[in-house]
Amino acid sequence: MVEIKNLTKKYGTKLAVDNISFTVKEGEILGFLGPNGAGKSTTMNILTGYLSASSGEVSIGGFDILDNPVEAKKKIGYLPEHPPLYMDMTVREYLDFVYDLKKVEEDREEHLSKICDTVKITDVKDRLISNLSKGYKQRVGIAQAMVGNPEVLILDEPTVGLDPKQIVEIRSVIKKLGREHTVILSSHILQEVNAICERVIIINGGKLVASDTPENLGKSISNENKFQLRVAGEEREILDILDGVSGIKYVNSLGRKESGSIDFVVEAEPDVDVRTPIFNALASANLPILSLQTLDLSLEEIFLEVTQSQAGTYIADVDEEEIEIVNTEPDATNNAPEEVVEEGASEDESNL
Amino acid sequence: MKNKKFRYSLNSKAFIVGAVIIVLLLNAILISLDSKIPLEFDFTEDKIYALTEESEGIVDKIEEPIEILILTTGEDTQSISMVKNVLDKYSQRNSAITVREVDVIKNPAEVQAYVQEIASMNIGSLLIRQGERYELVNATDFFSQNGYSYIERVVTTKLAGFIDGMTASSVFFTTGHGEQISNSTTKVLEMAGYQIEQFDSLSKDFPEDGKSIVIISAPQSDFSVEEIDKLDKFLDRGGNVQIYFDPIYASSDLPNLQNYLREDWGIVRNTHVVLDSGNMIENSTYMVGVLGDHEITNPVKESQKRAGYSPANSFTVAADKSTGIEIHTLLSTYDDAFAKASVEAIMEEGNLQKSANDESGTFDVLVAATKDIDNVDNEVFTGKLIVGGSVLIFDALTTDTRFANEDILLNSVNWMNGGEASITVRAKAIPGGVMSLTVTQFWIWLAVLVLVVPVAILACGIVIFVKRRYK
Amino acid sequence: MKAIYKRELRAYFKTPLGYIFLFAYLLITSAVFTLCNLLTQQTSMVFFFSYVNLVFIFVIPVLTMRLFAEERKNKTDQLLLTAPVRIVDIVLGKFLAASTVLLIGVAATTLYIPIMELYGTPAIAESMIGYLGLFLTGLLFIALGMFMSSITESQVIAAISTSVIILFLWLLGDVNIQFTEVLTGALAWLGSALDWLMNFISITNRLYDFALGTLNLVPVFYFVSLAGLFLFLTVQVIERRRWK
Repeated sequence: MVEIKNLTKKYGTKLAVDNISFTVKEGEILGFLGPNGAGKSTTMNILTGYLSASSGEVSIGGFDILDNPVEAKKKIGYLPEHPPLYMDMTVREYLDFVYDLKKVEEDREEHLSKICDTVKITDVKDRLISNLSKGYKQRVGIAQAMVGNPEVLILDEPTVGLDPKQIVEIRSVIKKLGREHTVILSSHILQEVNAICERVIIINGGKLVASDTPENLGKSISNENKFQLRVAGEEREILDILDGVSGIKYVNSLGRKESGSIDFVVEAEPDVDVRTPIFNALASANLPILSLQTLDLSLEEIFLEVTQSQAGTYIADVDEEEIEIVNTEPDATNNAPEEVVEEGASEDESNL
Repeated sequence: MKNKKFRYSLNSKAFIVGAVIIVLLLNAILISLDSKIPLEFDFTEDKIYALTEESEGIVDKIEEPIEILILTTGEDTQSISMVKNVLDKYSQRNSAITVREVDVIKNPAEVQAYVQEIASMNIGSLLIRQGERYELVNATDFFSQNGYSYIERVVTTKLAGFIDGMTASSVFFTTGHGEQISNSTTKVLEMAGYQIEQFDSLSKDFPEDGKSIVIISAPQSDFSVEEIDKLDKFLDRGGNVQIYFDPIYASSDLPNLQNYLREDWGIVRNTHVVLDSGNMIENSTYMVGVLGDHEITNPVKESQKRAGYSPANSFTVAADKSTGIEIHTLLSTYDDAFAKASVEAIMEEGNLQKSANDESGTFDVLVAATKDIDNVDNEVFTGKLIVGGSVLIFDALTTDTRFANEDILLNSVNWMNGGEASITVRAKAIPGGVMSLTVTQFWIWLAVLVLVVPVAILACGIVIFVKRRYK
Repeated sequence: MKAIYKRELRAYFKTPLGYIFLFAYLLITSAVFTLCNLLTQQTSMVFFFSYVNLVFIFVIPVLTMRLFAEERKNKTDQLLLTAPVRIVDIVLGKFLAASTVLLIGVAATTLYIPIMELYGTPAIAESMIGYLGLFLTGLLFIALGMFMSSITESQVIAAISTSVIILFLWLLGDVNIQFTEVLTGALAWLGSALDWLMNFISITNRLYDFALGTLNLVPVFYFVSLAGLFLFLTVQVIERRRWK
């Protein structure tokens, strides 16, 4: 359905997408994973014809996106990173416009109301888009992509900015859509891809670094020897105790999060469960553990996992990656674990 | 196929440059064609920018190249573009005529030979030249104060002068009797293609050519017996004479001239002052008259235009007029006109109203007479005479577009010229006219157009915007 | 094209922009009409038409500034450019929508003729030609303004640059530089080419014919072809941006 061959995109001298090739079969839900700045959005923009590749070919349902743009684009529904919404229109006006724009032939009323029901925006149909909450805006964006029943849905971070309840809903919508459509979905949240996709592609620094089913990737994800630990007491004292526990690879203090306690990230040696030794050691020192939580691996860490086994040059890549993350999300590196906690938390909630 | 970026970007760069060049080129071609073939549709009511048939006839006769230079200072003004627009029609009609603009400040060499004459002329004046011959047209001649365009008339007339065999007929004004020769009259005649000449009838002979036209305009002293004799002989040769009296500008005591008119032509000059306060135009002493039935006046009557006169002497036909003389009234008063004895009498009364002892009725203020004369060779000549009771009939009134006096003057001269117009390209009305709004109406419209309507629209927009904002 | 035309036209009248345009256009035009015709009590609109195109300096940016700049800023261009429509259709749809709003304005101001009819006899045919000239000038400026909007993300920059260029084109008619004087000898051809170009670009020189009441195909072609050129350039700008 979607065929990508040797896709390369250069911005000046910088390679944003570096020789990526893959195909998506009809009815497949493909996950597109990568950190911010990895080239996910660029690739998707090229797939949909918004950008043109420096070299390489994209064909959608047999039509080349450059040579036959109108035919190719007819088969695509696209939700970009920022939903392309006209703030001065009501939802109904907006969808009407998209309907006209895509020259849809199905019955207007029936088609649009079906979409509105699917993404649950029927009750805000007559409201101005600028007055909608972020979640609703995102849903209107998805509705827009669904107009005209395109064979391929390309969704760039469809759940970003949604609350957990909405995320669950949207995911089930996408899963449902996947029965009739080919879906390409990008995300930087592993669990999301895990929950929806049949196949996952990971790109980093513009390069395709992994392509596999979530199950296979999942094996390398199930790393359970990293924790976040909250202990009441003095930092120095706690660190001394933890130093004495064997099997701990490193301890990283996160500082004071709650008065009278200190947070730590603790990583154990592979295949060693250090939770009981830590509890015992701290308990005997009369330093109560307030919380002990397994950390879900961040995408960056999965990268390490994936790329480590592939090439020995990953350190350079990671450095570069981190610089990029600094550029896009300044907080990401400083408080990396914190962010992971937040994501993990929301994941936990949503899994309930 | 390998490097798509190269393929597409090269294409589009070539595309852009190509498109710009094509657009400029097509425009350049059209602009250069503009002066050669007509690409224009004239939507003005009077077709100001199209040539009349008369002009086309004359233009078609031009064979030797003629160059028309528009003398400018490099700037394009509204009037220059109007002139250019008309001149383009000449060059489109006949390729022997070329038109171009000359910046006299930047290229003084072009007009070096004419610098003395040009110095006093306005921007947008024309220099028409053919080899050594040249004619100058001052830009002030192109437009009248009251919204008429004379461009075509002036240019056609001047061009006719370059055509062999198209020499203009002459109109002679007598001098030596304190005559009032009006500039506006001579200008109208010149523009119609007549050559204006003056001669002292005391020392010089009347013109030899019986087709010539002599105008005696408001003399203040009488003609001598010899001059009357010369005048009579001129008329006997089939000559044409127009004599204008006037209660103010001409002497009321011109016995030789008046006797000649009465005895030889049966026309009596009444030196009273004819007035018609009921038909007087506001804020002037001009009065509307009644046009007579004659080939001079009929075209004017048909076009529903009015003819005017100022306080005038009148004429009556003498009872003993010989039968060979035909007299026609060209312009008379309405029947509620009246006559005061003299200008002095009016001054004493201090107003222009009728008083009890004033003679009243219709008075003829402009008449035409013809007399057939058999000469020795049995050839029949027709002497033509027009007498007017006021010099202003063809002076100030010719430039007043409320009246058709200019047409009557030209028709009368053409009639004398053997029924042939010299060149009769009429003046053309520039679009538009005058409105009469009261001050209140002006302010009402100002308020409606500038305030009420725009603000209403803006308010409408704000209401819609605010309503939607809370949707 | 139809969908985009419809959306843009709605946008003009569902947001204050269309009303602001009509407000400013009618205000300025009526002021010029009052000065040139009602005050002087002349029905000839020659003066009106030679000054009224100044209004475009102020009002055209209102119509054009957001056309592409806003789309880019709000990323809504991603919807248009990934929809099954050609870029030409997007550009034409927007152009026609702005032109329609302009047409509404111009049509509204033809009501000056019946107003003058109450107090005199206006030259109707001549004046209508003048209005045609005004509209064609507006079309060219819309195409220009849209082009400026396509090369920037900032509406403010698009608006100001459009105004400045229109003002510049207007002033060009009054500037009197002769390149043939500066460039002589081997460069004489360049001088005459530049002189021709200067005269060619000047809007005021092109407008005389219309104001005088004649429909000359040369200036008609000038306005139409230049508007077309700017539309073409707009398409190229958007097309080329994909390759950056």
